[in-house]
Amino acid sequence: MKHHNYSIIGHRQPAVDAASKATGQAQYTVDIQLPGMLWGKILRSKYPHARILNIDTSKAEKLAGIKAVITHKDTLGKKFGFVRNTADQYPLAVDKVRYIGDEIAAVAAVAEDVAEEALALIRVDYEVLPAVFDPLEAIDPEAPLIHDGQNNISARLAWEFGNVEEGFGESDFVRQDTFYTQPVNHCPLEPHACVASFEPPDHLTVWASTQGVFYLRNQLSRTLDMPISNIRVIRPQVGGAFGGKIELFPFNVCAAILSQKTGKPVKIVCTREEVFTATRCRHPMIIHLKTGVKKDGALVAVQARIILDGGAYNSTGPVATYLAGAFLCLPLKARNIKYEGFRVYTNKPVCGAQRGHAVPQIRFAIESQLDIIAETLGLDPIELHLKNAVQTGDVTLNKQVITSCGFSECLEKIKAQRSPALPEGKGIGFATCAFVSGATYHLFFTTEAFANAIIQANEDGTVSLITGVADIGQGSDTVLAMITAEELGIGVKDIKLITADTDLTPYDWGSGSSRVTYQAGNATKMAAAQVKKLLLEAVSHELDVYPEELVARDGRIFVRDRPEKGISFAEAVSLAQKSTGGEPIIGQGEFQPQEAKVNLQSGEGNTSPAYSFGAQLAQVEIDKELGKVKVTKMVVAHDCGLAINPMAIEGQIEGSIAMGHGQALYEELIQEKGQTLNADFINYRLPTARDVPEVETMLVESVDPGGPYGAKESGEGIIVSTIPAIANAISNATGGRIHSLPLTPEKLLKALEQKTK
Amino acid sequence: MKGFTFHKPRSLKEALAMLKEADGKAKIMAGGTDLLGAMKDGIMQPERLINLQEIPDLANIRPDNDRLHLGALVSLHEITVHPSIQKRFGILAQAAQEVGSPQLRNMGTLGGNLCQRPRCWYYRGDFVCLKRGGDQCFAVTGQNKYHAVIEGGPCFIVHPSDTAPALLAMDASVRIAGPDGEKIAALEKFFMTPRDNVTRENILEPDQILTEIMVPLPREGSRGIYLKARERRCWDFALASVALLLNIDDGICQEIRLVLGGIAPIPFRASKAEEVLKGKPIEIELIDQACRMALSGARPLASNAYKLELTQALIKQALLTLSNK
Amino acid sequence: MKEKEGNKKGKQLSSVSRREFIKGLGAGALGTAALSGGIIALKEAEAHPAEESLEEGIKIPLRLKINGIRYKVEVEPRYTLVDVIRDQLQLTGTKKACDRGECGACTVLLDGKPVYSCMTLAITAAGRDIMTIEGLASGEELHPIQQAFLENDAFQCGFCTSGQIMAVNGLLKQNLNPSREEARNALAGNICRCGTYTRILEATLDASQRLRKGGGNRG
Repeated sequence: MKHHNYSIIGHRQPAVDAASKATGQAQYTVDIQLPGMLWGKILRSKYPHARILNIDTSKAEKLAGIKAVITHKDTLGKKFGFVRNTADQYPLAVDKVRYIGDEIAAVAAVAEDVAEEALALIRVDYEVLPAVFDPLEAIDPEAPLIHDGQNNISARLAWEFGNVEEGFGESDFVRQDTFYTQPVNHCPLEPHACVASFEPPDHLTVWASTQGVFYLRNQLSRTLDMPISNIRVIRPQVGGAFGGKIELFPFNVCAAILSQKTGKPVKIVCTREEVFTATRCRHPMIIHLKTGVKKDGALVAVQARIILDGGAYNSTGPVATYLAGAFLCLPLKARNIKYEGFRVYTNKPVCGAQRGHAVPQIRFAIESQLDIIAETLGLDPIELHLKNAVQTGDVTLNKQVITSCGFSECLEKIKAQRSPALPEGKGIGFATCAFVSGATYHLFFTTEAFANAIIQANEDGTVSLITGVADIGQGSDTVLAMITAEELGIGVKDIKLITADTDLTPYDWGSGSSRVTYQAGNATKMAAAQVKKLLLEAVSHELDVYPEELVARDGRIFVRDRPEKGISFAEAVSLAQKSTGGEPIIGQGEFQPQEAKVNLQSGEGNTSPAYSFGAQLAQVEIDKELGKVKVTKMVVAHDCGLAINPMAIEGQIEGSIAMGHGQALYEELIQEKGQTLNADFINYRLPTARDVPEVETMLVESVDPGGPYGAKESGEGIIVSTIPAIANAISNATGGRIHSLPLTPEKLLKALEQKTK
Repeated sequence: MKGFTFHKPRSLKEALAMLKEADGKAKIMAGGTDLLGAMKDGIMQPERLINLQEIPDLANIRPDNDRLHLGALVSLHEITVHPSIQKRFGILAQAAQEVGSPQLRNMGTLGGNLCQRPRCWYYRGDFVCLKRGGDQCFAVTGQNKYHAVIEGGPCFIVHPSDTAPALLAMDASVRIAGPDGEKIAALEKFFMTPRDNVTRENILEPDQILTEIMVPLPREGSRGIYLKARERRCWDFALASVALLLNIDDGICQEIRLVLGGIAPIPFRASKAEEVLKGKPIEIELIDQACRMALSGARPLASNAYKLELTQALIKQALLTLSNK
Repeated sequence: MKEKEGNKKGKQLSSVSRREFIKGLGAGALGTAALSGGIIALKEAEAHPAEESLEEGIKIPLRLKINGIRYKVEVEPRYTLVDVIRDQLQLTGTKKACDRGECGACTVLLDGKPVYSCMTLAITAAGRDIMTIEGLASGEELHPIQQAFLENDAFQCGFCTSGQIMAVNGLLKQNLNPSREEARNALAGNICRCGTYTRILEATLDASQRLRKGGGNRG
């Protein structure tokens, strides 16, 4: 869609770091080698729940090549957590271990294999405790307590808007189902990793594969009791994250302490098994869902009672529990909503944030149920959605403010793409989504703005964009460079990026909750505008025109009506510097959302400054005898606001679909008594080039009044609708309905068998 | 991976001498794609590794008048692209094409594919199961959706090979070299059930090497097919697979060999299904009957009964395809 | 390193000269003493061991030919190719993501064919042509495959990219005009968790076109 006259924005722009990635020159944390660097390894619990009686490290310490061995005694014993007031995890276990993988000790050695050998020499005496793995059993008052002195409910949120009981009474049809979702891992191809280097007397540098350098710095500061200004966190290239690298991990703290003890840099790279079992996974949920509608499909009441299986620690639990409820209905409106979410501790790997953060699970349930309702009532599911669609200007029951909304247009576009009758064995499925463009609330206490940018113009005609944003592969650096280039009328190649280094760049919250384009984009645009103002002023004096008459474009600053009258951008920079006696030409911008007052307890508040919307159709071919599903095509309509880099947005959509496709059909961590059986890429199946569908993307550009150039979210939302679209397509093709993820041949064959009975 | 001493024999004779000398403490390596993984996982920790990659004759493909001789170190990729294998031994080429990934087919060998260890997640994980000297099979009461539905017990692994069912359907035999010379064994007698010996999957003794696979030329008019059910289209081991060799003359099934993979601790010959069809006209009713008979005697575990349906569907599809129904 | 009995034996045996040992092998008189010491025979051109035993825990010098350059490294038999090229030679373009041959990030070409370098012992790669991502571009100029990846936006995080490009390179060396389906099959052994498969496919076909026009795959 070309409805504007931008020279950079809205054009297909290859990533700014593309050449370095295509040549293998891009440096990731795992690639860092420093002089004298040691390798760190973590000793992890073999038991799901046990009291630690004694740790004997003496043998390990004596092993040739071992430089340090640490236990909790070497830490400050401070708990950390994603949400500050629910911190419950120690860097190294103090008294108990709560899942298989819990950190007990760490070693640093001259080589990786020596470190591994040392782990085997550490003797831990355990008192094995009864463990609990099923969240429903964990809720039982008689269940073993995972965190002493409190029950196993790690978070409970509940709210009601309107009155659902009355709503169900008014409904013509009420449907009740229970849905189950599975634990899945992010599987970033670059394992979690960091290099820590302590320089006496008191400075720590950490290179980390992380989504947010400032978040990591803050958490390290609290856990190590060091001032933030003594800690420098640097993000090299990040080989995938998807929400799994948003937090502090015990190995980060261990690397820092080991470096301090040895006086050498210490590198820790998680093994693939550790990434699977000892980082984070998506919350499995049990979702009891009840929906009441009028005959015409109008949503009257939606009630959800959700149990989130959180694993051993809180991680992002309270946020996940909130988001599942906050996105119970959006992009639809219901007159009455009731939500109750319990996040429960179990002796299993910890669950946290993952692409879509708790929303894909709830959306799988609600879109499946709406599909059942539409079929039962003989309604077209797209019409049902249109009837209940949220619109620009709406404020939802839980006070989400819809500043821009192309949802109905998405639905119309999808409707037009739907093929009529399908042959036997083929099916189409439809589902929708809405997602945040960053949050309006801070998770730790700081007076810093959510996003900041500094831009300095250089006399060679380039500019330096200095921002704390940590691109994790989604292409945010490219978007910010495009915004800078557009605003200043220069090329993307003229933007020098200095990013994600807490010593050099201003504060940024990090790459999470799809916030960078909207929030850091606004900060960047503001900084660029300031630079532009300085330049236009200088040029206006030189050319004897008003600044308002000038335009910056194509590397020049010229008079709008007389393009031949102008000077180059580089000349303009020199001119401006001369006029101020050599002051640097610097612009500064920040983004701070309007005070949001999100109340987790009441569920009220505007979760995000803007919301993306989407609808999609999955086309499948089913071999009913083999229970085999082939997703042949995905058609997506996505309201991402103005598409700053359409090529990257399509990539994000395709990425969401590939991941959603895997999580719909194959991916599941198989756990038995807290032990993960498939912590590998053979039995944990990621989609391959032969599996993923072709994707057709239609962008619906509802220009958001608050977004930079009108942009909104595009990296996460679409996974939310991918999973139920596939589930609904399978049901459409076969008549069988599966209530639990993933939708394996095993389950499909069973569902078809039940249907024929 | 634990350290080991590395041997690089340049002839089979040297390799055998090294193996004998090592007295059970050595493993032989062909492509290494299975072995090195098992060693990294600590399932095997051989003191010595005897690399067969440099022994020239072991990677030969040699057709003679009535059979095809395949060296044990012929790569799986080579099998998929070799024109005469594609033409005359299509089931094998199809099966080899279904193994692992393109890279693994470049690296992995036919002999290695026959001798690979099972993928059971208890065996590969941190469990001291029967196969690792323990006293129980964890799959019986545990997570068993990928385990054996027939011939299982006391251990419920499935044989992971794609090429084994195909070779068995073609009545292949293997040449085994040992300290006392060579012997030839029918592939049918090569695999061992857990009941025979729970610690291994075939008859190879620690001092023996599988050197060659011999495949008789199917008789004129025979057709073959290999079908594999899997979740993903790459890397996955078979949930169930079917190798079928069929000779129909004058509408009558003259010869049939039906072998199933992914469902039993050995490549499973479905003799009862063969009997249903042999000597009879291939009719749809008989096909259905054969499908039912194929797995008679199966005893699925809690989560793997779906494999029965999968297998029957594959058999039906294979029979229908080859009989042009 | 732990001292093992075998090691002691090996040290004694290292006094056996290479010439004598190889002669012994050639005559078919395979000395059991030599074998128990774990001596192996390597061609002179491939290995220049100061000591001749290739035992557990003992490093031997090895020459690896990577991207046309002969590198000297020191390896234990258990070292995998990916670790040697990354850790010893700092050729970190090749990535290690699963260490089990289950993802493809470590794909390199061995004698022109894509293999997983995490499942290849470095010692078995001696004397063979190894090609990594670093061998593709000539100077500042990107290889047509790299250029096609760039223009088709065929990556996001970039961690699988080196392996993907080597798999594409392996394919185009065999088949300069692959169909979409052939390309898809050839690339199935490389996971991209960011899900850029369609773009990688487009880039592959684009690169094949560029190479056909430009006259062959110089990579």
